[in-house]
Amino acid sequence: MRLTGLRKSHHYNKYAFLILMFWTGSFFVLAGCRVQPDERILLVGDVYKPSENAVNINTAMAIELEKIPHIGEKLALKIVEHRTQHGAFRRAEHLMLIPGISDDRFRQIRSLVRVD
Amino acid sequence: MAAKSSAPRFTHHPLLWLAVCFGAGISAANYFPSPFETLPGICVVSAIAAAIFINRNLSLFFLSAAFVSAGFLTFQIEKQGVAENRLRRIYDEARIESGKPIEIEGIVLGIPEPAFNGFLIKIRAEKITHEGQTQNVSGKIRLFAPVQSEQAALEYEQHDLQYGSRVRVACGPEREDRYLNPGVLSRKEQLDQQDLDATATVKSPLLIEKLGQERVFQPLAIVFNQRQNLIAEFRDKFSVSTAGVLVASLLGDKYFLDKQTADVFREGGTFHILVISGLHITFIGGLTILIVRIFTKKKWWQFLIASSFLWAYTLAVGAEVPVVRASLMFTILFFSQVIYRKSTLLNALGACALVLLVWRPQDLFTPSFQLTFVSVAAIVVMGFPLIENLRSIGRWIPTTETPFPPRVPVWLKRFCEMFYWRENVWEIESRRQIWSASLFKSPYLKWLEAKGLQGACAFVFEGILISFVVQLWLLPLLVVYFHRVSPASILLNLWVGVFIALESFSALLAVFFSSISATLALPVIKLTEGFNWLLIALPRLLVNNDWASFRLPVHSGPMRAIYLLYPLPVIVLGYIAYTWNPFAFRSETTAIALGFKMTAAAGTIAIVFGLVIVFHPFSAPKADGRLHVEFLDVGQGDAALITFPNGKTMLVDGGGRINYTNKFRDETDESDAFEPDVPRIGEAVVSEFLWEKGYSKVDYLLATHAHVDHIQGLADVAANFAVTEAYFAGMPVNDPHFAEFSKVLTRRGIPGKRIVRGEIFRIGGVEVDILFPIVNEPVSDNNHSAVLRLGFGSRKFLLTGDIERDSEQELLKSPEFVKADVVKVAHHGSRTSSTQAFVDATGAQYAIIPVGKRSMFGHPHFEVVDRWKRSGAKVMTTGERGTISVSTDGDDIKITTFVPFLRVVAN
Repeated sequence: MRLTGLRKSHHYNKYAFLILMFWTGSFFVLAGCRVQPDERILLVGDVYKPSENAVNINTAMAIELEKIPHIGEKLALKIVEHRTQHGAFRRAEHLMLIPGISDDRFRQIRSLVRVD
Repeated sequence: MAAKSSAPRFTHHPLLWLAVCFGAGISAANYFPSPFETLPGICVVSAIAAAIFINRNLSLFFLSAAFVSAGFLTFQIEKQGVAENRLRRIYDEARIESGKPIEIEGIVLGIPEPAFNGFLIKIRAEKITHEGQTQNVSGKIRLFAPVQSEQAALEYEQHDLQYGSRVRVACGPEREDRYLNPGVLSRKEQLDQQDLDATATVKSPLLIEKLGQERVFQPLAIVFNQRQNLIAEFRDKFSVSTAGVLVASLLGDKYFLDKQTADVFREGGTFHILVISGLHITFIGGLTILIVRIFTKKKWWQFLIASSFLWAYTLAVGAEVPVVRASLMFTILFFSQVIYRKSTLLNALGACALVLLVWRPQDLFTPSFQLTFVSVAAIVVMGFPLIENLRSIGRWIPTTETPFPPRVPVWLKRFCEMFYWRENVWEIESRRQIWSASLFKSPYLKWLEAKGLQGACAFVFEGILISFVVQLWLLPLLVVYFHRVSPASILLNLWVGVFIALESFSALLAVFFSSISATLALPVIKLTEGFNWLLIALPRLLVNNDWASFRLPVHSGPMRAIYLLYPLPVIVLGYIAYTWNPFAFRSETTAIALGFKMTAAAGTIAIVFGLVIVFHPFSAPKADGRLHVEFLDVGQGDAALITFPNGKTMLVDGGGRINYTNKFRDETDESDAFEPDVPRIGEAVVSEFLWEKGYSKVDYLLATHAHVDHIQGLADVAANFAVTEAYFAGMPVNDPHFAEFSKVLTRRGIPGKRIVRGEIFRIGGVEVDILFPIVNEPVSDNNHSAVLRLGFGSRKFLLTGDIERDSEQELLKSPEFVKADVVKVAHHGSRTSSTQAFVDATGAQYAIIPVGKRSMFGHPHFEVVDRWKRSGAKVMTTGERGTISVSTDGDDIKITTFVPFLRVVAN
């Protein structure tokens, strides 16, 4: 390459070296050393046990599904349709695959539905 | 290698020619699908023949043939070699419908990429369950996981998704083309270029199950974690704009860029600096080499250390295809210097192209590959030799090799001396010699050199020269792919490059200091913000000028050849620059004269072609005496382009996206409202469509009402095109979308006008009647939509905006006005509109429903479709048919659709 020998000044190299050491140093070391204290209590996992009168979404008919709060006639029909088209729900969470059942809405009915 | 040993016989850069042959083979394969079986034969026979005739010129021919057929073959292998169970094939063959819910089991690749209000996970799929059946698959899916609540954030944290996590996800992956209009980028092609099979949104962390953790290469996991921490640091410490720029340019995550900042870069033509590109890799690689050179003089060590550092960085920033390409290129170019066998940069460039094309043949057709290669070629062929020659002219002192001064005009000599003349070298040199000579140089040069300004001037000059050369070579690509020419970018590239480097260094310094003390870091953080302000200030100042950055369409029809012809004179110019020797002897006078003539000729031709591209005098379609209405597929929304018989155009609504930004907005902090940098419909669909047709001007804009899916795109069109006048119904004071539209109108100096019933325009023999709204009110909702009827000869077209029941009843008070042959169904086929009485009153032959294929509102409602069908109309939706074009000469009606399906000629 004809242009590589452009700046052979020794000072320049030293300068570049200092800058880059800073840069690589902070990239690889400092960011990794950052400690993130986390004292929040995690409340997740299988703490949600379906209640006794939970509806089995794999066997219930549309009329029974409608009894679940936040599930209207349309959604109940959609659930049944989803079931016939895609087979039984493996997990209750999969209700969210239906357009209209958001993360929020599912959390509200979570303890009222079951799959087995 | 045969190519190497015979190199001096034919050329100094054999690999370049082989790469060209290989590329030619690939392009041929793309355009002429041919018998697959004979190719390996041709390839092998040619290769053997080349080896046999190694010492004759015939070898060249056979070698070329071998590489052309090899290119042909590789392309076909890649295309046909997609495995049966590859996800892209499953979706393309419609074995699973796009968007249908499935369960995917796979391994997380890389680390979840933070994005605004969520993150992205790339998964290598292994198994899917579809309708109760499980099958093994291959392919990559990118999931977007929105995080909208504290709870969700905690759950994701507990999932602890990392590189190598095995997960099962329930979602509806999508892989289909949307916005089916001419000129719009195909979604599938985009995915393929990113090496993805499909994308999906995961609604909730509850839909993800973590099954375990696979063993992964540990250093990589560390690299990924560092990057994520640094992203968090930047977002924590800096303002939205600064953090966005830093995270994008330094860490390769562009999801934190806000639209305003990104647009400033895009308009200035410097967006490539913002996303990690070849420039970054060169910069980082170059710096590493500089350091390594201090420690060791051994080239092999330099090469190994520098390239391994570079590849670690490449992986850390997400290893997207363009970055891998750039690193590969850097490695090969550097490697060619290590095995230094008089290999030229051009030859190494050929080697790069060969390797990259064997790796991914389809890349030849991707903008990113083309842009990278053309710009590097421009620098190697034209930029470097020019600088080298200008420098030798400026520094010339009599030596044994160059006893005579350069044979160039005096002004050029003076010009070069300004940057490169070294007075001290000359003094030393003249003291050493026994003879003495005086060279008359300007006294200002001494002053320039003494003040240290010369180096800075030379740096700026070289930067601008390189930038100009690259722009010159890239012109057709920039026009075809981005529809933009930014003369300002020649200057801005330099500015942005320097300040982004400064900003990055000071940001890293700030992170470093803040780990020690917050007060110590504060001034450095302020400094970084200052750099960012400067970085954006100049581009923002410049891009508001029309000459500094403007949009332009592409030619249509045979004139498109101009984009292929333009490179020819430019390549000739490149050849001249590459072979130029200002110190050639007098005996070569004829050659010099010829060179001068060729330069002049090639330069003139290049300028003429360039002007034709930039001013696109014949790009717009000619007036054909017919009235055309094209209904665009803008997903959920409306957009219709009317072309009048005299060639005048009117755009009725411009589509637009349903506004999600309110959800993203943090209520407590209005100032930091963040608009993510996602392409808008008005830009990526409607403007692209108009550019593809060759328009740089739309005579009239008409906004039926101020809803986002109608008016937002008009704002983009008003910003990108020359517009004579804009019309709208109502003038809602507090509507943000209307405010945006009128802001653009004011900025561009476009007069706006309110329209009400009774207004009539006569354009090119077509009568445009405004039927609605009846009264002029400062509201602009569905029931105040503008309704217009176009009358040409005996034919009538009715465009109804989003009017609902009430307005329809109002209109039916004079039913003769709504009679029409073609009706744009109101409100995307919603049941709020198209009452039986209205449908009957129109007596339409064709009912066209502009609606997305998958409408979140369930449009079109089946009873509405049914109502129109029963009335005897033929119903078409843009979601299924793409662009629907209706035209009439006043008597007949012709309909064509983008997705070929029917060609109806009535009467």
